[in-house]
Amino acid sequence: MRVSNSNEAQWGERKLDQCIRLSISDMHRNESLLIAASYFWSDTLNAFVFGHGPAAPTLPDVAMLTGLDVSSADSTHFIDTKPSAKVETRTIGGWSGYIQKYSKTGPVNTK
Amino acid sequence: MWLDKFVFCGRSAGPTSVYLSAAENLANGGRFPLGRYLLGAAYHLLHQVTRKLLLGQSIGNLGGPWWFINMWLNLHMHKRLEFNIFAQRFPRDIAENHVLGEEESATRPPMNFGEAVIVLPGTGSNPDQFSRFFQTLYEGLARDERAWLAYDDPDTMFPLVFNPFDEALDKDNEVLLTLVTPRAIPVNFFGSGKTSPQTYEFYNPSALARQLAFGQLPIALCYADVIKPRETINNLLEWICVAQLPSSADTDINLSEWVPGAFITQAYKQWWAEWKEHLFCKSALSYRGMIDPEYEVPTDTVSIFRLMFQSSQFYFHRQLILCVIF
Repeated sequence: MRVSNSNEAQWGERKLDQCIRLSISDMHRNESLLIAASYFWSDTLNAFVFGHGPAAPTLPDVAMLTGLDVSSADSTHFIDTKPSAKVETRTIGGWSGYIQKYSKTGPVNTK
Repeated sequence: MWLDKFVFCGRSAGPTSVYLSAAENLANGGRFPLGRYLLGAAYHLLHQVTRKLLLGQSIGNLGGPWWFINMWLNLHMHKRLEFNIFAQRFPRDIAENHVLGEEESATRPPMNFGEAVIVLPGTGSNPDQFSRFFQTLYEGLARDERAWLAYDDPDTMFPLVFNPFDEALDKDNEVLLTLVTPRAIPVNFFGSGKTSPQTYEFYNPSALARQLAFGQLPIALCYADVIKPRETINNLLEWICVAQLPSSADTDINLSEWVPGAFITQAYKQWWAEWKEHLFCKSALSYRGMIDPEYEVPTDTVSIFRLMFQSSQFYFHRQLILCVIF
């Protein structure tokens, strides 16, 4: 809540706010539906070929359901891009170890 | 780490530094279409699952944004599931020292379509439910259960990004063209390995015209004779060549003059009727029987489909598509 209040404007500018809110929601996986639908996926069309016609997630679906950016020009590509920061991940003891090592106290807007 | 655990749902049980470059870019105010990377990951996950099903292997832990596919399926099926996405209520963020007034509600409506569809109840891997869903999708949703234009919001409850009937979007030629133009979308670009090389998936809006509020014509695959699907990308130059491949879409079109309208053409109806005859040649009951051998067939259900082909439906499906393309 504190982080959200502090960073919501920045998240909004980067079109991340809706998706971050979703990630803290308690979503239940409908495994039966997921598996049943997977049988209808066409590798060639990249669409589900259902009895009522072809259908699939589209870029408007991404924008509407997650709020993420789908229309900016992609100039980064991320191929051959090395991060400048380094974080320890391998021998850190999973997610709990990672949180213990990198969690800090103090105001949320201080790096 | 948010990208790793919550958005792309990596295979690793612990943290990785795969998404560090993207996280740095976002933190520094960079703008890039993260949504396209998400869609690419979703398509690739479905490709991997389909391959496993085709080979009769267990699906296992592939890693990938299953949650987004689940949300989309919830939305696509919400009429069938009799789920009113506008009637949901969520707890409000209320400060600890705030006392609610008598007429003040402790709940609020959903803020967007994503939040509205995320609350549909889940199910485990239940054979009976699986076979019901399979049969529903196999036989097709009834006409009044289809949600081709899922973002129909007559009371404007949610902020709309994509409303084909919105004049402002109609005039924003650039955004609309981005949404309806076929393209290659990146996969595994944040980090790759032996089992997950940098590659691409094709976005084929021509197969999904009704979801984009256009009339559906027989499907045209723009890159079928140009480039193989899912080739490994080794360097930036290769990717730029793939990303800039011209599709058959004419980018000089002025979309603001187009009138959206969900319809299908007679040519599509004939095309689909013929395809469907071949694609759905085997009764769904045979798959239900595989999943649940003790299931007893009710006497008052299931239309009988011709058992024309003994080979796998999906193997045949793939062969048929290749025959049509080439």
